[in-house]
Amino acid sequence: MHSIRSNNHCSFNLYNDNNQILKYSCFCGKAFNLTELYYCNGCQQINCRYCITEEIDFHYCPNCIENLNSAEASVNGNKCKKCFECPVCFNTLTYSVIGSKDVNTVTSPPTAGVTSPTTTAATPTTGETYFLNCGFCKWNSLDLKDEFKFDMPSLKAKKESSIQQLQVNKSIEALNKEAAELTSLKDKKTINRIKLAQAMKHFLGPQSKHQKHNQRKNFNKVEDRWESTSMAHPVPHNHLVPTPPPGQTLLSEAAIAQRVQPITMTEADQMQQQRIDAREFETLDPLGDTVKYDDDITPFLRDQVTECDQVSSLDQRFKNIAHSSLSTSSIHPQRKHLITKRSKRCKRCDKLLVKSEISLTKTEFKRQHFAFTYVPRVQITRVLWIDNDIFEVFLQFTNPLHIPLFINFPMSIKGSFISTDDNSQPIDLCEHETYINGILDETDDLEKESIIQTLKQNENPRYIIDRKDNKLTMKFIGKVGIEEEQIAPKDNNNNEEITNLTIIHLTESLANLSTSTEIPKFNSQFKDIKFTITLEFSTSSLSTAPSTSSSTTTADKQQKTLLKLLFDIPSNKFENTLQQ
Amino acid sequence: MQIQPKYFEKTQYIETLNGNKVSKGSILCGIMNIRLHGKTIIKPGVIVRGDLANVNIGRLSTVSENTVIRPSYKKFKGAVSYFPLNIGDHVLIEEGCVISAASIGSYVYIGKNCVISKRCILKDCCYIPDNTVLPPDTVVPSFTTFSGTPGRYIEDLPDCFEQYMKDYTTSIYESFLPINTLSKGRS
Ligand SMILES: [Zn+2]
Ligand SMILES: [Zn+2]
Ligand SMILES: [Zn+2]
Ligand SMILES: [Zn+2]
Repeated sequence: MHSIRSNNHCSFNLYNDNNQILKYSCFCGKAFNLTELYYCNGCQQINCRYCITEEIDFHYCPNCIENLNSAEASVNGNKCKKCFECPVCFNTLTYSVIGSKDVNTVTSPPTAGVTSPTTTAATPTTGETYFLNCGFCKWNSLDLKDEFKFDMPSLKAKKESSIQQLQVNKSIEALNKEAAELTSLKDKKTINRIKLAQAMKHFLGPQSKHQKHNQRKNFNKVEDRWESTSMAHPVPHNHLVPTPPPGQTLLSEAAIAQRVQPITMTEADQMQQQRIDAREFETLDPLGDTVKYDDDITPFLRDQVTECDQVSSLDQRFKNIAHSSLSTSSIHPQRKHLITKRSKRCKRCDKLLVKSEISLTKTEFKRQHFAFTYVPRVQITRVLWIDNDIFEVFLQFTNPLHIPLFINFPMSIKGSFISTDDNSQPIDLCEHETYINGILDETDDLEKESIIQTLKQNENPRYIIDRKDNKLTMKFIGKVGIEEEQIAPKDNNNNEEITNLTIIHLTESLANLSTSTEIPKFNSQFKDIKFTITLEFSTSSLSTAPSTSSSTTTADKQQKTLLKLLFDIPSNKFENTLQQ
Repeated sequence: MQIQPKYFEKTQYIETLNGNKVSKGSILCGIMNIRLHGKTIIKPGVIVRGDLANVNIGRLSTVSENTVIRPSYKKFKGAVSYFPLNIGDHVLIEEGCVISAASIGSYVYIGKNCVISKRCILKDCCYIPDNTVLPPDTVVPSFTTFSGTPGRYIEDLPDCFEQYMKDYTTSIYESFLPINTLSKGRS
């Protein structure tokens, strides 16, 4: 199997160039920055975000940090009861008192400039009327109707429900029933079905208790339909949840119908034809009645507009979908979207990987299986050319655990040593097993201790550069270009095929170039040097080879984890690349 | 890539017993009200307005060049009252920021040229990318990224952000070395 460098998901990693250089391959072949990965103890493998299932633990408002369970959240359409967002700049709005001296000045709304002293929600005074005020763009709700003026800086949420919600409730009921039946039998197939049921449940939200009451109310409130289709945000990534077709929401009746009905061959042909037809634009008679100003400013508005700020932007209209007003003066503030805390499970064995505390004030986790705290962390300390197209990399391995880790560079593995896009490969690396000390160097295990001693004695100073605390610096030599025979055939899906790594031992003089004072400069063929280093690690000794161990093979249940490190080093990071 | 060591002129910095490294090019007003909890780095050009209210900066935190730390105030019954400003441990504030928050938790990363306006509350573990402007009274919950003008919720952070920041700020502190060690430091 070829590993692929995937784009890091978090913008935090995207902004940081350093976090793009080295990626760790997940068991499924996608490689990400270490911070975005998890490590499953059950299968002793790395999990990427495609290899986990997520469940919403609870919802909370990002502004008032109020905790809500899924039922409470869905009653309010996954929005906060108290907090509003500015319709213009989307900042959180604050409650302010109208005319701090006289309550009756409502008829002549004060201008935005003379805002009265703002009060926090903590100090409500009776008899005062509050309005919403934006501290960033100075928008306020004074020009709007009474809907956005309040007696108290908190208000009752209106019930939101829609035709879709009622449909959803029915299917949730069915799913609930099925899930209850299935939980009694738990083999692999049913686990998947339970997963699907749970996924659908979370996606669709729990049942509203006030169905009938809302049904009637819904007839005359069309805009409610839009408001209640809001989902928990961000939606947990779940491969079992279908993605909505573009331009439709997942729960619109058309979309549901579409998913249920199978598509026939003729329909497929028709769709193909329609797609071809759609490429030709209809010519319109500019004077005819057929011309529609679909999303344009009406002539009336065009005369009124004196500043471009008066026309709402697409973003503003999308947030305000019930009104979608063209002018900024009539768009309404929206309630703040709730965000979610999610627990994560291994997709392969269903083991719980991450579960956060219910309390939002703590950053602790009930369970935390981050790759960052289980897998040896790797950093490049130095990289340089030692000859044309031959380079040397110094890697520092950090053991995040309290016990020693054993690492080994396998010479043959199932699958491929080369990843997609690689333009280089390692050619000279340590062939013997070695170890990284734990954080506190706690070795209560005598047997382990003796293995470490033997490993230390047989250590090759050519590859092992430095040991310090829980850190180990090693040297690798790589070359630009790939040996053809090491590439497992791509179209062949047989993962069992074994590939071997060829080792070329370079002469000592070449290998020791990095220690000399004067290092010559070399050209780089590529802008980025991409290669893969494969290693195995385990908390118990990996090989049976060291003289002492006869029992290590049998007694230890600990498996080893195969780890592929995908490097993508820009050539300007090399110490001695010739600048062009 | 490993963080490349940054060397500083020993005469340009004041090192305290508990490992604080404060540049002589920084301006600390009302120094009695400023508490650095150890292993804190204050770079040149930084202004800390301790004369307005107490300022606490936690362990292994770094305040980069030309950042202004200014406690926020609130008008209350006509009078102006200043709030103390607490910054947690393992916080990294990049260059050119204006920090007027009411509190900043631990494991927080604030990028270059950010404005953290009056009375903002940044919880533990959050990330503010470069050029973000947080409006007054913004609350940034744990494990979130806020960016833009005005700064608003963008996405969740990786769950191991706390461990990442611990590791990152520690290595920043350890690679900030006085220039004398340059000759013997390199192997
Ligand atoms: Zn994966
Ligand atoms: Zn809220
Ligand atoms: Zn605004
Ligand atoms: Zn697993």
